[in-house]
Amino acid sequence: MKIVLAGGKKITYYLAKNLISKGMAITIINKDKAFCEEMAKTLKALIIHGDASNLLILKKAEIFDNDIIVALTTRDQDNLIICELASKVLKVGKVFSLINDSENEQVFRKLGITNIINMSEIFSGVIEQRLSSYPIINLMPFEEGKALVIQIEVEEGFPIVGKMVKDLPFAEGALIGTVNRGGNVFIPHGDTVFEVGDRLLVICLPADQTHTMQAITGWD
Amino acid sequence: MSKRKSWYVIVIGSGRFGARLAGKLSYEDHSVVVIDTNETNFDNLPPEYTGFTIQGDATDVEVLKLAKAHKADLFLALTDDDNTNFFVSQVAKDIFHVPHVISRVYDPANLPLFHEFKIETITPVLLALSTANKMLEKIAEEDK
Repeated sequence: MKIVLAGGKKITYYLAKNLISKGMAITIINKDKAFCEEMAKTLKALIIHGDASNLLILKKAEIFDNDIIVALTTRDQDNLIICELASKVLKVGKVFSLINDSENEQVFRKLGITNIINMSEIFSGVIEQRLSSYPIINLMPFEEGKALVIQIEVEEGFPIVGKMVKDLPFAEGALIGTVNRGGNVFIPHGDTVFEVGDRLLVICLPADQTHTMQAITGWD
Repeated sequence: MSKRKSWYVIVIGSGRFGARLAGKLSYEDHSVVVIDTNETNFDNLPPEYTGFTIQGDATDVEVLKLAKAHKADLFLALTDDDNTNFFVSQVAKDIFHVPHVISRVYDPANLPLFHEFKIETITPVLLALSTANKMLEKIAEEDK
């Protein structure tokens, strides 16, 4: 099994480097000749110079049905054609596409490309979290964004101060995993009382995020 | 002018070909909207063109919504880029359900893909070849 990375520059290089270090066989297709020469010098990968949205070039990569292709160009129309050629003509089983305009996700899905990396959606999600009014220190999505781990510090005036875990109005989909109190990290029990300055790791489902943050901070 | 029904037509790409065809359709009393990323390309539109123009990228679904693509009877993808034409044709067909979608295809090697997705095509290279063939045959005939 090999992974074919079609188009893209920096992202392709770093992705290839990462995947090669995990022992995977990589083929890079790129229409920029200088980039191809650079990659041929730096990476242990098969490099094909050419336009991946051209069937003849794709055929050169000898992609088989158990291989994976990832379309990484900055133009969604190029990514779509790469994916369609790979899946419909070359019968590649696993086809992934980067999407630049998040609106195009529904277009790709409708046309049968379901393994989608929606760049702007991922970025805007992260930025929105950072811009939210809650004093969140860190937020990490897990399981394709279906689970969140939120790091938050308890401040003066939060309703959680002086309360015990068992008294928190938390939804089913949330729990406090750890408490960092002055460098001492522990897992809270039902009768742990929260103090100002406690740093919490909260695990919750996205649907319960707002409610959970309100319960901790008292903010709207 | 015939009593033919007036269509709502969206033309993507206001180059020499797109602009002339838009002009012809507009002259025949169809409602036409031409979309192009480059505003200066609208200079190609002939004087008889009375339709609308939208400066924007047709691969952006919002732009097609603005052009009311869901109401179109005919969608013509006539940019000079096959990938763009394929993309917008697919969107017109499968998202906006436009009944008639015609796309220009530069590289004949791309034709099977367009046909697989039941997009009607115009391929300038093949048209030029067929015209050239006819001329050559005529010359050969006269040469006998």
